Amino acid sequence: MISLLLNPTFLFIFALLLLFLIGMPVAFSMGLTSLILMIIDGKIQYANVAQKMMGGVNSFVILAVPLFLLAGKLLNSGGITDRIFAFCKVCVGYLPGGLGHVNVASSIIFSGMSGTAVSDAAGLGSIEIKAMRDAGYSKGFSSAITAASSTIGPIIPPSLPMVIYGVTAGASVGALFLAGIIPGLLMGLAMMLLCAYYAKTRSYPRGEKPTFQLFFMALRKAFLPLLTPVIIIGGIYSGWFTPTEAAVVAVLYGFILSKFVYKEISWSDLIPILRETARDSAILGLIISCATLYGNVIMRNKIPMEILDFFTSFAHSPLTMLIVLNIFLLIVGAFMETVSAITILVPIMLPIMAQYNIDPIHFGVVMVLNLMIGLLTPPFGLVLFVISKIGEISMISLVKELIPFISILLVVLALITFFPQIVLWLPGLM
Amino acid sequence: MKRLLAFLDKTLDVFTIIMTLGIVVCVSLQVLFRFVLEFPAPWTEEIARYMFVYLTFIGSAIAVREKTHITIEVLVERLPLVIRTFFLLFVQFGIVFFLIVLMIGSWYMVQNSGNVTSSSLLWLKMSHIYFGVFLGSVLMIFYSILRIFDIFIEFTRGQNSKNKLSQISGEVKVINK
Repeated sequence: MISLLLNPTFLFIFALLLLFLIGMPVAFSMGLTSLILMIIDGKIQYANVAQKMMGGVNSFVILAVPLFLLAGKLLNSGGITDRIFAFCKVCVGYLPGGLGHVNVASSIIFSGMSGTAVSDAAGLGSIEIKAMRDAGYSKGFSSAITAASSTIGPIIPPSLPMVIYGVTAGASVGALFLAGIIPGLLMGLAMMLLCAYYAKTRSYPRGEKPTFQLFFMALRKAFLPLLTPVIIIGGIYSGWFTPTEAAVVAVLYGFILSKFVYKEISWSDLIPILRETARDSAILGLIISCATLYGNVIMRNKIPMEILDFFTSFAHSPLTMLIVLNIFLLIVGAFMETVSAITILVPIMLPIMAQYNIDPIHFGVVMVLNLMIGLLTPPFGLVLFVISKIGEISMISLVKELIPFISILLVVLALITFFPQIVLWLPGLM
Repeated sequence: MKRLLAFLDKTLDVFTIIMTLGIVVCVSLQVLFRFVLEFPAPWTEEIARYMFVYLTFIGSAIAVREKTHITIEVLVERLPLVIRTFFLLFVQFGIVFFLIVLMIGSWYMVQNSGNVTSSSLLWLKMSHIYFGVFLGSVLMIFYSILRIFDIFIEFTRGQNSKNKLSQISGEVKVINK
């Protein structure tokens, strides 16, 4: 028993879970667990703690975090989201189940500007739900499709979880961004198919087919916001910008659009936007900082190798390993917030990926999609909380309506797990 | 005392906002230098990185103050008051212990990296950057200790109100009979 307690791997998992359970913030839990391992090992290396903590956030790539957060907040103002919604309405609104498709399409376009699912759900989501309710769609369906489509946000670039994954795994953020494009579009397509099926069986209303004139009017109105994803993705794809530089360009572009072109925000609105960005980034920064210390300590104690040994005892091929990891991540995602899960799990999973020849870029997209599905599942789906508040719907009925959406997301997950080409084709062209 | 505390809060708030704005300006300058003026300016990248170090550690102190650090609250909310208070205190003491280690370590680095120059700016030493970590950990310790006091106060208040509550429910029971 005592030897089990002193086994670093066991102790580390036990300590980390215990600290989570009694309500210690994720960042400090990782930090304190690292200290406990150091104490078991003999002594606390004070300078090493400071070096790793500082080094974790002293990187240029990580600057994409505050910048994309800020860009998302600047572009999430009413004028811009309304224009995107209106544009999507003339594009797909006349299909059966019209506004459902509009909802998914707007989310796809908006995910090319913003990097988190929760902000997509909160900003664009309220417009989408209101429009669908006004047109006579049921509360459950409008809320469910809004919640589901907001998970496309972090799959299509820019994406906060991908930046964090890239930093912790040492993978190229640019490649991860490009890798997410096709899976993100697949998710959108799958949701639209489901929506079309519902439109048939439940006879949902459809919009009128717009004339070319109307289409061009909406396009002209939405043209400038529509350029944002083009600038970000095009800039990274062509190798012009690093992700961080693309992020600052998005900030400047978003600022010019909402301040000078559409005059949505005043100078005094900028202070709260900057304040929110500062706080969100500091919180994420501390998690990354503690995760760097923690990743270093568990590597020195060879903990990932022991966990790898455990897995190799029953998973013999990369495919079985991927299935095991997927199931594990779906469970973790239901309980844990995305960034915390990535920073805690990636250091453990890196040796597994190396052993089984799993491409880190491929696995990054698989992992983020898993965690996005986790945002839609109880007990701790953040998007569930946000949407049930905005849509004024109970959690239980929202989850019930979401089950088909979660099922098709699982199909997409299976597709990108078993066919890595879907993910790796675009970054391979770069 | 209260006004002093409010002043500290305000200062940190303004500081983090300036750091965020600074990051935007520095990275924008980098893009400007590279694409428009066509000569690279590595100092913009470095300053932006160091600003993020300061933003992280000073901003984390604000988050300790406002209790906004990401937490997985599964258990604690539903526990009886005494056990909950025990856990809350345990968590705060654990945080303070970790931060003291970080404080000692970062102070050591402040003292011992005064000669290490960050690559492109000769006047800027690594000790200046470690000072941000040190300052942040001191502020976080300070706010954690404040929180420990708050937990004690909440606990005694909770005890009192619980007594009152049981009295009231006792009365209700009496009436129902």
